[in-house]
Amino acid sequence: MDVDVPASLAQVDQRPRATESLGGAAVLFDEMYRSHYRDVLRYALVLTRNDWDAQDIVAETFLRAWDAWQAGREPVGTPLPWLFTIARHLATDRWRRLQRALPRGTDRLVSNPMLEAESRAWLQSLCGLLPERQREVIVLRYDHDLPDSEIGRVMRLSESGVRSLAARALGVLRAHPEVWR
Amino acid sequence: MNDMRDIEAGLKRHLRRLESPELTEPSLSDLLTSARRRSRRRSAVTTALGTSVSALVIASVLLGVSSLRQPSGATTSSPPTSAEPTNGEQVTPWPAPTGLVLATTDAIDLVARYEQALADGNADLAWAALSPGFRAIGLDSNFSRYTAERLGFMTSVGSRFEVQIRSADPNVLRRWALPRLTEGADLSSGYLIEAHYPGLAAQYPSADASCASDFYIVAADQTHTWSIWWVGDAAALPNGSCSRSAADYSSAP
Repeated sequence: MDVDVPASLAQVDQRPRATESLGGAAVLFDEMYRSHYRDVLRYALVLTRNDWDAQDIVAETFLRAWDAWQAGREPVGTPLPWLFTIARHLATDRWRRLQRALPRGTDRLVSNPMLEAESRAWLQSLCGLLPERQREVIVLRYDHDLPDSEIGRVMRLSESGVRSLAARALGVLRAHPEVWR
Repeated sequence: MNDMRDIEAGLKRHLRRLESPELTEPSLSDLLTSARRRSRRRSAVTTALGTSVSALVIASVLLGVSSLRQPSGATTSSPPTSAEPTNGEQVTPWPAPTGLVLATTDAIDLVARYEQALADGNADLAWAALSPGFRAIGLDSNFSRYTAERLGFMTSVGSRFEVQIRSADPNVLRRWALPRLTEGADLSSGYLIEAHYPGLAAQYPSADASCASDFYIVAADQTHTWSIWWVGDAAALPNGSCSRSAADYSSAP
């Protein structure tokens, strides 16, 4: 599932500026971008554990979202789960490529200059305690306040599957108060 | 139950801190422009092979020396012309990407820039992409990101890393990327670089393998398959005198 950019985007550098002339759609998209940039960034950060990767994923997420938006495929309802779904696909794709490329055991939490030391340490602790999917449920539920049904849609899980992952994650965290105090 | 509320509140608090307070989102226009550039570059590099002007470059980096072991008495080695190592029984794991991997990924980036500039009809920019001024790409603050991105093009195949890239102009490697790949070599200890170009049979000067502590062998066969072997242990190679010195490199074609 590589990033699939249509051939029509070959003239890409001009297109973002075209947002100015697209009227209402561009204005709405820009508002959505400003509202959710940080949400998507935090989500990508938890997925990738590396802020360079996270920033790339955020940029590509909004690029794909914009393409879809222009093509009339904007989300129905709140756009945040839609953005998370795109980001998740991109992160999965990137993870697969890196898994093939990086030597086993390479720590991807290598460079996070965007984060303060305390947050970096916290993220590292969280990543050490929870597997990726549990982490993801936690961030979608408690950072973004998504209902389980939406989380399930993003993660392609049933609601009970989401609840199960969350319960397991919380069970682990209960034994590690240093992560949430 | 209180315990659970505490956990949830604590998690929320920590999660909300997962960004710098000074962070401001880039303008949408800037963000989309940079994302499109990257997509374009990736697309240029990973597009399926097939056009008649394309050349496939496979840079293979061996993790051990066994596949390059020469028959007793040999003083120099001819580079293998296949991307497959000749044998692999003594291959040792490569603990982390080395300078060569980074140099390789830099080379990919340069080729991608070169190709893109050509595709855009900017011959001047294409040339500039190959000039030393663009070396800074490996040094800027985004290096980690670029490296990771480019590492995404690399695949681990058994004991090797393979990098696949197509180039409309195989000579681009001769002009720029190939010398760059050898930058990490310790010239004072000798090295071996041999390059066979498709249809050109050009050769870089080589130092005798027996006096090399680190050296590279670069080869391309007639199917435009490029292979780069990195060898970090000369002990496995036959002893012998150095027939060439690092100074020979200055006379490279």
